[in-house]
Amino acid sequence: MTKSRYFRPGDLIIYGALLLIFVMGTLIGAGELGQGGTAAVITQDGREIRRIDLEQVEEPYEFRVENADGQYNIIRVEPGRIRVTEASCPDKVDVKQGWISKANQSIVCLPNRLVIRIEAEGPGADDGIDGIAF
Amino acid sequence: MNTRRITWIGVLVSQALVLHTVERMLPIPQLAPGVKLGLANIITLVALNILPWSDAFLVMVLRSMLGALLGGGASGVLFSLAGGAFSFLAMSFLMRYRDVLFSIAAISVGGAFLHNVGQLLMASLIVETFNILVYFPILAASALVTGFFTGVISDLIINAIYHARLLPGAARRRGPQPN
Repeated sequence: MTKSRYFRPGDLIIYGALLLIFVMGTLIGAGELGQGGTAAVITQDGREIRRIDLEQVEEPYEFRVENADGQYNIIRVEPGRIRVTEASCPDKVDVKQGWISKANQSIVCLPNRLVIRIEAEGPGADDGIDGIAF
Repeated sequence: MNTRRITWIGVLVSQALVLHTVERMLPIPQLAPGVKLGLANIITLVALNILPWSDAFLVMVLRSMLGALLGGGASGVLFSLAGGAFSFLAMSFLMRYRDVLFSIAAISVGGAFLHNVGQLLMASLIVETFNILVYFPILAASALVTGFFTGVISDLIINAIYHARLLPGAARRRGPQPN
């Protein structure tokens, strides 16, 4: 192999470590992520403020969540999925993220300290791996 | 602090802010929190190569704080600093073995990953219920791609700076290796 500016033997350690994280994480996470989650849990400042069973949703609806500083997020719920449609935060990362529908997916709005996370519920939900450690 | 140092720090910080702003204008879908091109990482790599450690650190702190204030307001500062500090420490350590053990592309990849890890750690401190481990695989994959890209660009810039003879004091640092 020619001696390249962009490759040195030690690079394999860095690339290998990241590939390992990717492959392991995907394999372990696939089992959990794969199952359609049903409960969307909305937390603000670390406190759970609302829990919605997405499989029980029949008509799409929207609601507004406001925190103590007057900052808001508008959340839209449809059968099986949930998203943030509007937010007062400057970066709008949560809005850009779009719909989530699978267990362990989450939408985070850091400026407003809001997290929407989907949990797997029902039979078998607790049989999976409950944590991944590297 | 002499004029040359002040100038280099000022130029690099302002370039980082421009890259930061341009990156936010690009319509790239948000795959997961923390996934991004990381163009401003180019400036940290350049600073580490052409400035003394302490000045490069100053560039990183200034660009993280100003970049966060320009982008998202005060709440982003801690977040941005955490990412900046993680990647800076990792890259300045790896940089000691540049061209011996690691190429600049791999150093950049390592820095890109740790930048994301730093940001997510800070996020999980702020929002207690946020499980950051779920995002590790996608962050690792995106760091491999974006880090390599920014690493190669940094190398081209560093070479250009050396070839333009902008650094009379460059003797204190090893020059780039010939091809």
